[in-house]
Amino acid sequence: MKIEAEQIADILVLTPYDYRIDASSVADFKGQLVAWIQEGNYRILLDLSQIDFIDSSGLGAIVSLWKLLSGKGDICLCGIREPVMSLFKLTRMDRIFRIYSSSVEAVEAMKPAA
Amino acid sequence: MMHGKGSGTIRLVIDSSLKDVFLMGLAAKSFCAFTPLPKDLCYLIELCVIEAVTNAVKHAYLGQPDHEVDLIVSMDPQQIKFQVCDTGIAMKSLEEASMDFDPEDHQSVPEGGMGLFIIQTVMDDVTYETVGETNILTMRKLF
Repeated sequence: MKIEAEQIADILVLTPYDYRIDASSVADFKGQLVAWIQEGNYRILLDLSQIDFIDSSGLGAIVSLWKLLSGKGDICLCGIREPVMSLFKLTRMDRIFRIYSSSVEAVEAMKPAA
Repeated sequence: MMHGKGSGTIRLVIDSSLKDVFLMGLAAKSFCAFTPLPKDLCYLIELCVIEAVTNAVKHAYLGQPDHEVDLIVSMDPQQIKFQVCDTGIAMKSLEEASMDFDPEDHQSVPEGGMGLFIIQTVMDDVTYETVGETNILTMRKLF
């Protein structure tokens, strides 16, 4: 899975470009993100604007990353398309993540207060 | 409104490989487009089919390829029905899944086991049976 990375201040913005995060691609997706976290990137913005479809294994992987960063960092989400958002709402996962409409909005919100 | 005669059945078959599961989802979404169901619900039905077929590959066939997973889709003016069939290891039973967790308690938030909850929440009726050597998960959505 191609995942673009951009560093903005102390925030690592990660944008997957594979249309789908499902059982066939989740190991690759999660492996790449875990590697970035293990390199010391503890503040992550996951931009899902290019993703058309996420299944429960993809959602589970995002939850596991959120747990991995628990206590030492944060993972926020942005750009979630409406159909994909329906999965977050159905499983109530929209209540555990900070979700923003765009990466610009998310980066602004994640920056420490001046 | 449904197009054409509005009734029919089709059987699709894939190999028990996770890389092919998405084909079943695309097919399900296409069938839903010919029903009165709203677009956002069609996405969730595609998701249900993906979850059911993935479960068959991962749990019935333990992730091993070279087995068949069938998807039988039936439509009539009242409903669309999906049957996911395998001849692997049967589920013990179809219990009601739940998603109870405390958002403040990180460890209580599930990372897995959400597929059956999604299916039971989205679909109007879900049953599971084994007929001969074939396990059949049946999911119905009424219009």
